[in-house]
Amino acid sequence: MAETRFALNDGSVAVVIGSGAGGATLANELCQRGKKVVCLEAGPRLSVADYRNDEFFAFQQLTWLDRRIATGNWSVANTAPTMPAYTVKAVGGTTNHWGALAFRMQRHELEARDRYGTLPGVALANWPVKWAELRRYWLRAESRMGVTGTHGIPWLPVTNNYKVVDFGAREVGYRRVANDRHAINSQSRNGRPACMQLGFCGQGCKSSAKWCTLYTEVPQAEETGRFDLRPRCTALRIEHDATGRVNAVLYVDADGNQHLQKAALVAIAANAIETPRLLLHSASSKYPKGLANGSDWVGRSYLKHINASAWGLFEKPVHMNHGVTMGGTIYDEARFDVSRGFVGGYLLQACQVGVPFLAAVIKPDGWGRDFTQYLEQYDHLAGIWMNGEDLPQRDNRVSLHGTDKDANGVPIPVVHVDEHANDIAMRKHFYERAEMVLRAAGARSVMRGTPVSASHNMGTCRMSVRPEDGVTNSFGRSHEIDNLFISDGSVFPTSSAQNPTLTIVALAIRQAEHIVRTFR
Amino acid sequence: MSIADTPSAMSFAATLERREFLVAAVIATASALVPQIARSNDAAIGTAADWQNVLQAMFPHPMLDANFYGVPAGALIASADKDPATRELLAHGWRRLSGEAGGDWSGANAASKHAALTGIVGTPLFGLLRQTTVFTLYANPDVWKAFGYDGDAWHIGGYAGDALVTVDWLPDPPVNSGPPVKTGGTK
Repeated sequence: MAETRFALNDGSVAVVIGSGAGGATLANELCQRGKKVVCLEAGPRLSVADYRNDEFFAFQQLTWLDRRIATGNWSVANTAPTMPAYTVKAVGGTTNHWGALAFRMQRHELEARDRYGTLPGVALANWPVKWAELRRYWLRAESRMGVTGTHGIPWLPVTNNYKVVDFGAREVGYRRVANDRHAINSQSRNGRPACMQLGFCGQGCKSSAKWCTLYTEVPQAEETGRFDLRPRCTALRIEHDATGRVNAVLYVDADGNQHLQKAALVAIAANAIETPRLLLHSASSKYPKGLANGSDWVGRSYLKHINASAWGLFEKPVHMNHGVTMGGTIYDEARFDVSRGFVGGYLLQACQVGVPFLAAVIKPDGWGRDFTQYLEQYDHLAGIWMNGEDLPQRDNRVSLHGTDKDANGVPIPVVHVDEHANDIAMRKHFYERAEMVLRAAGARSVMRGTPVSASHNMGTCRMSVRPEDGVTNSFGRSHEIDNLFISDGSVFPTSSAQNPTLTIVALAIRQAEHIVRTFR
Repeated sequence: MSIADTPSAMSFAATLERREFLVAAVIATASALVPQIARSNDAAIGTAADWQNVLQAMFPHPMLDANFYGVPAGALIASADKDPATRELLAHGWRRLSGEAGGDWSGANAASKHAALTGIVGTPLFGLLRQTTVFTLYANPDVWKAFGYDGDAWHIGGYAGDALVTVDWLPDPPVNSGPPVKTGGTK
């Protein structure tokens, strides 16, 4: 099929910036419903043949390595000062490297302001979408992505790592423990095969069993003849007309040439660091604080989940790397229960990484026998990952550096995070519980993994009922500019304990319906 | 970035920026043996054999032959030959480490070496030694094999099938894959 190309001066197209979970899903939905879409993707278009089962190689191949700056009291500002986030720069975005855990949120998590009480320095908010409404879209997202444990889709098989974690969890009294909710084919489905259990979900799934927009939403959109995907094209600035409506996107292509693409509407799905960066950098005389930023919420309330890890060393072999990266989940600590000394909750997730990542990022200051004994007994390790709800704080934010710019002259983003006491208490609780679980399964010692650069970026264009409380309405539509949309995790008002991708996809489907209804 | 800018704790991104040249250095020297890989005989920065000994004390693996540490040690010397800032870091570092080990690093006992190394934790030198080791020693498939890490599974077709679970020392989980579907907890 011939490639679809729309003219730069075709002002009837929707321009979607980013081709990850939000952008590609939105674009596909719009194309299926007859809309023309130009998608600007900063990264290259790879294929599954390009993926390699090699952590360092894949890191170089897939990761967004443009310089960013981390500040604040979170440990990442010390361990990775130029890399606050671990995201992807390629067609498919961060769905290339995600672990494919696809959870719905819990009711109380959508009502954090009402349920969590008043906390100092915290800008808690309720979601402007009701749980029952979101559920309709989660169901559709689950069907689309093939989430195990939904729609009659069988679970993935148990892996070694999961088996160990499951046993330890039940020994310490956890009851909600399951290897379900993977957006990974447990049997062939929608033209993609069942999981081969390669163990490299984070390096791009060579079998294509894992849902990734590179080989699902993108080709589906292309089949409509209404999708113009432009890889290696980086959006630099969004332009608007005299009335204040957006009408074009300035971008730079792989050869360094700049182009201005006219647009009927613009939807930004560039991940929650680049999305506010683009809005802030698009400031004009009409919008001196940046687009959609009359409320001064763009870039603020940055959320990234609380992550940490624990690695048990066992007498008997485990071979945790045999099988999917995220083996399964202990749900018990995600319950609503303030008696633990913190609000919100967290998931404990059976997790494996290889020797390279274990050495490089899990213990960034590790040395000596305390450290090397774990590496050299790699096949006797089992791992648990923490995914916890962090609290929205106004001054945890993405902002533009005052002087430091990238090669295109765009200020580099500064990501500031000061952890709340609640965040710290929750992580401490996780370390203790994860260690209990691992020891209950027979671990003779446990190594605590340091928090790593965030992959779950959220919150920087929060949706709100009232314009003064956020950036967009519940459809991700800017309060200030009616043809400007946000289509990624930036719109999350709170982070919940759940991995964000399923909800990003659900909101993108809902947003597409809204756009089709309101743009004729 | 220059080595002088190396953050006290390892920056993964900064490390990756350096990796290309580290790997190039390793490839250029990997076939040679220590100490021939060290072009520099400059005693002020220590020899490749000296740094091999330092790295072995810093990342001890009794199961590994000392020659495995020759690759990162050679990479250190090679980068010092190219980059004055690295040379300065190694020169200063070697004076410090060998001095604290009583002037004779290789002859010092394990406790002295450990104490000397403890003193450099958080310094740019520590970052350089650590990242060089991470991207050579811990990226070496022969080392992976010694540690029980299989690496790439594509060439064997993955682990799906009857052989997926080899943990036979624990009972199977009470629930298993397949319908009837039981939701995990976020229903």
